[in-house]
Amino acid sequence: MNPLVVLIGGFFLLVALRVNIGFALILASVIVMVMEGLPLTSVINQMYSNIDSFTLLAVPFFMFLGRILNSGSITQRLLDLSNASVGHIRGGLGHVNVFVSMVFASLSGSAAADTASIGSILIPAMKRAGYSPAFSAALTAASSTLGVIIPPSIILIVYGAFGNVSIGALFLGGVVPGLTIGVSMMIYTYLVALREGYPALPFPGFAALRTALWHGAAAMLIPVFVLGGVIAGVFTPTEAAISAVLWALILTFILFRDVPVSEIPKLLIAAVLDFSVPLFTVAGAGIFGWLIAYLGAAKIVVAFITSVSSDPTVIILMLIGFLLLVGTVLNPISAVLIFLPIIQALGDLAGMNPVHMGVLATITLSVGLITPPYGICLLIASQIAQVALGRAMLAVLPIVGLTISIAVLSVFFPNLVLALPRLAFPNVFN
Amino acid sequence: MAAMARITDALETLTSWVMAAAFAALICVVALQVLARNVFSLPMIWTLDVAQLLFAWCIFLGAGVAFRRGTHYIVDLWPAEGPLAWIPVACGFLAGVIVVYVLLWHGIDMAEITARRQSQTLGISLAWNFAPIPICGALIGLALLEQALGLMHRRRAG
Repeated sequence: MNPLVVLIGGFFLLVALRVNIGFALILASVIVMVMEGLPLTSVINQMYSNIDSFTLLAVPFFMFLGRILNSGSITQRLLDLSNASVGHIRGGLGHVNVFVSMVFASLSGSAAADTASIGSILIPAMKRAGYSPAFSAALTAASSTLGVIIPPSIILIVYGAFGNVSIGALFLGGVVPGLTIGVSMMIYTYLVALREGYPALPFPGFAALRTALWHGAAAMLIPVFVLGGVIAGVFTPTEAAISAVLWALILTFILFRDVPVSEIPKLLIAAVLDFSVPLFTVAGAGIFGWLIAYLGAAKIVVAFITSVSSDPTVIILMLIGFLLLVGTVLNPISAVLIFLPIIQALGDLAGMNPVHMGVLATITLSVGLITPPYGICLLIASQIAQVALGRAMLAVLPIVGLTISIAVLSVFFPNLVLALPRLAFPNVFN
Repeated sequence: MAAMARITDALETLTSWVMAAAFAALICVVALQVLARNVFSLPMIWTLDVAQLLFAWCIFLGAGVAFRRGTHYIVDLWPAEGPLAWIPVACGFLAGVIVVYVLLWHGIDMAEITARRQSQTLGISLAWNFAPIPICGALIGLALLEQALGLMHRRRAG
């Protein structure tokens, strides 16, 4: 049997049999390595090589940052700021939900952490205000996926580190599409609010807005550290992440003092458990991705796609369809690592800029976080809202449509992604 | 069964503390590097190697503990209830055993192969970098054993 079929077919069969994704990656690879007569110590070597990256160190730091933000009053301060800024528009709590997710996305970069923290506060509040539980869950989950697109994004870091693409340029490339998706979610919320008669919150006044801005200002310095530092070339993404962690620690434990220092070990353990699972999967994807390249999968896929069409737009649209499909069963990190050679080969074939390709792949894969069976954000939000997953799924479909539309729009208008990175990183485009 | 649970609980607590210490050290080392490079213009090469070592220990110890807690990524395609529910349980167990064999056996192999090579900046054996992989295998193996014993215990209890 063709080893490539065994590798990919075996992996999906194991995943369908509820074998965890990391184990399925390792086991499918081991079977092919035995078939090919390759030494199994290479499994260990490749697993280690894949995590032997200073850039990848940014991932645990951003996940720890998410834990710190949620442990103290920072999330509440950001919620107050969002409330004062957009709460008075019709569908107020819905706008607050999207707005705070955009702000949170610029701080942490983890979608599941966003769903759990924002959702546990806003979903009950939305239900009390008369919003349907399904809409509340759908909007919370969908807006959380902005964390994957708006920098600092963990997926963009992984894409840049393993795909040899400038992470600073990828970060900037995610800004406009991320904000566009966020604003389109707010417009959709407004239209739903008009139809369903969802209320607006009373405007708290400019004095309250000023106070909320003042209280949230210290936390808002975090994206300044991260984006400013990386764009100015002062920090690498990892150094930016550690600077953001140190600032968040100072805010939470010294300035605001809303968490006792004795809680630090618990936060550390929780953060290690948060990042060890995706990064164990990254290690497993290392051997799997190496075999994909070893067996020449990219060439086979490129040959197949070109036999269907050689039109660059059709190639990219087929790739978007493929990634949407892959995203339904794989988390974005695993999907990027496994299919990176194929994504980049097809991007090159279509003449797409690598930064554009990275952002487009990330936006497309983010949709998988809210579609079953692997829609972890929708799952968390529907549990908080105590609504059946099927109903939340139906409510999230229009928002999924918005995200996909903006991804497709960027294919026809590349400057939606590339305008900012071209300004800040002209050397990447020469 | 209770004795097994006590042992694995104690081991999980110990591993969690080691993880927390390793992650705290990782934060300090990278913070030191940022300060040294950007504030004192004093690049430190050894911090990269220490950070990488601690990073590997955090990931593989954490993955071992996470397996016992059942927090690894699973896709819910197969129904968890019903007459065929035993199939994914058996497949998961079998896959786990093979992964434990690879991580433990070939992880030790890899540590032995690299034992005589030294990190240039730290002066320690490179086996330390690979050591957390077989330890992860052992933690997963113990969790699998605990699961199997628990299943047998529940069956016997009817």
